Amino acid sequence: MPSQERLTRWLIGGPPWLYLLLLFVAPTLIMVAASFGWPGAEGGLAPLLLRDAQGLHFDLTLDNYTDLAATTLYAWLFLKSLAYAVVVTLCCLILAYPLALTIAKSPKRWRNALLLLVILPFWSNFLVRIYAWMIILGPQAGLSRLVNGVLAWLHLEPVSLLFSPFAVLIGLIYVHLPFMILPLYANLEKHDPALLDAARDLGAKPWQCFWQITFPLSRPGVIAGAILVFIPALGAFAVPDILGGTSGIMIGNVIKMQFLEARDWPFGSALSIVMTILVLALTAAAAWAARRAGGRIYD
Amino acid sequence: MPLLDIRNASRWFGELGAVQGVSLQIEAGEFFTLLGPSGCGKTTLLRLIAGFEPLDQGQIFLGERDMSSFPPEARPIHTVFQSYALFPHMSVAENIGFPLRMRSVSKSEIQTRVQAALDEVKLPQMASRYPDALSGGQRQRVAIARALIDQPEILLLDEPLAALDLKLREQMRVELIKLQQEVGITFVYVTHDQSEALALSHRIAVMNEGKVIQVDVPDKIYEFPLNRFVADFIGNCNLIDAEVAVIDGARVQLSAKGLGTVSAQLEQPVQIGQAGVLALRPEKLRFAIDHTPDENYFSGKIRHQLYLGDVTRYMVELDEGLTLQVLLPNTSGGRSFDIGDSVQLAWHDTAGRFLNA
Repeated sequence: MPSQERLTRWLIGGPPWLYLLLLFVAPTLIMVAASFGWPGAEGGLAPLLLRDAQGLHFDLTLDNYTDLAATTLYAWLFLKSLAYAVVVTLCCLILAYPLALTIAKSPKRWRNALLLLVILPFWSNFLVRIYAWMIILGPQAGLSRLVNGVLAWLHLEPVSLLFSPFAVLIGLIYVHLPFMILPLYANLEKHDPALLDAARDLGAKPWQCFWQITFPLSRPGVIAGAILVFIPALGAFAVPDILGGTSGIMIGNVIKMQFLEARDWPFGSALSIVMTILVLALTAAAAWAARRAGGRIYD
Repeated sequence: MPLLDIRNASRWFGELGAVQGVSLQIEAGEFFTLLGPSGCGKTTLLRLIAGFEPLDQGQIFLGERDMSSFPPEARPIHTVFQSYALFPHMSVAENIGFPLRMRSVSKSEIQTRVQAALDEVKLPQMASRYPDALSGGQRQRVAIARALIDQPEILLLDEPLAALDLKLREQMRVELIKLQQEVGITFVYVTHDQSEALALSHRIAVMNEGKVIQVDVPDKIYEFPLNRFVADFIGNCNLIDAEVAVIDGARVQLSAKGLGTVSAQLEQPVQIGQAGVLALRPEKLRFAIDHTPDENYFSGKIRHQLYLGDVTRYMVELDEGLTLQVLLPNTSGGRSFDIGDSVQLAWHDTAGRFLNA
């Protein structure tokens, strides 16, 4: 390879690699190391390398992981977060699919305008939008009054929509919906309409066309959307923080509390690492299952 | 009673009349071709028959049943698409078995019938392949096998040979004719390729601008085109503006522009002074040193020639000013004529057709 070409390649490829190395790989390794450390006397992290009577040596512990394994609360929170993420992913899929299909089948000149509507919420701040939900779900808002009015009519106890698992799920679905719509649309838009004509022609009813042709061909889009929704939903902390109250707490909130409030960085790191491994294992399992079930994936 | 009876069918796309008042009767077992230039409405007519497009006017009967309002899946009609439209996520066997699966045929029966269909189209080893691993010709065979497996009453073919290379296309023509004879199913074939239409069809409907211009057997379409458009679209033709001068029984004397007086066979009733066009196929002309009384005879010079191997196409400029195409087989070795040679042209009175413009 001529040296000039090699230089060009480094100049183009170098910065992103450097970026990932400094801001992703290095912090992750620091977290791994910290998860085996002790908390500092006044919070934070005690030095991992110690010099004392025995000379220079590592001062490491497995306590963080054994504590984590011994406390059922954490296992329960992991499970709960997992369940929330699954529900959010499924709800997003069910809501996003018809939307993406409608956009993909609408006349070309409409499509960009409709896509713009999908990403329009990104133009305002994430926290502002979550606070807006606080108002919508608040006890004084119409929705709460309506629900509690119906409950009172049925002689049932009033409920609080806000500060509940329900509010967390609504918030998470709302925030992640565009991340499901966009990959689904990108996939559905490429489908050859002749395939649907052919299926109808060969005897398929409209719903059979969907389950035999459209849905199987959209599987790469479904998988991409599910990953884009599931992973951030699993680690969410801002939405449950604002909308969840005590009953809507998720594992992300606990990790955040360990770092910011309890200031037990090693334990927070251990929780983070466990969650990262969980996500990787689940994604790998899903990819393996998809390959086994379908054999081939089309784009 | 015709198998397929299209009665005054119309389909409009906004201001554009893609199909305008088309009526056609297609008999059972026929190989029927819709032929026309692109945009003539032949594909829209095919989509009307399949049920992909709604009729704006008219009816389509299959036997005694009015199918006009049936959805595509309810019509015993299958289509072979130009792109073949094989399902990319299904194997060859799954593709071919699709119509049977939609009709809830048992798994074991599907398997035997798919295997038989694969043998039929000479792809017995391809059952588990996927469409992207097949050649163009193989894909087409799979598309045809898929469309024939549950024995439709009519098979529609939308330019199925257009995507294949020349050699394969000619080979597939023969196979299509054999296939149609074997299965005995009515084929409705859409093409813009006139030689394909002439070679394959029992009957041809020539279409232009949403209307059917002429329906007839291939040799009638070629020999007796109804008007200038058909004569021009099918094969090569010398088209000469002419006017009726003398009517003499079955013959007619024409006064042709750049040619003078010529005689031609009378096909339709005409009147003296009627303007039209004289259609003269290039292969009906010959270079002659002498001529019979019932032949037209002109002299001129060869201006261009195209040597095509089996035949040579000459452009002869007549002394009267008109240039005519002449097509002659290369019977002797080497070239017999050269550019600039003086030649005499002769053609029989029955070779020329006087058509409406």
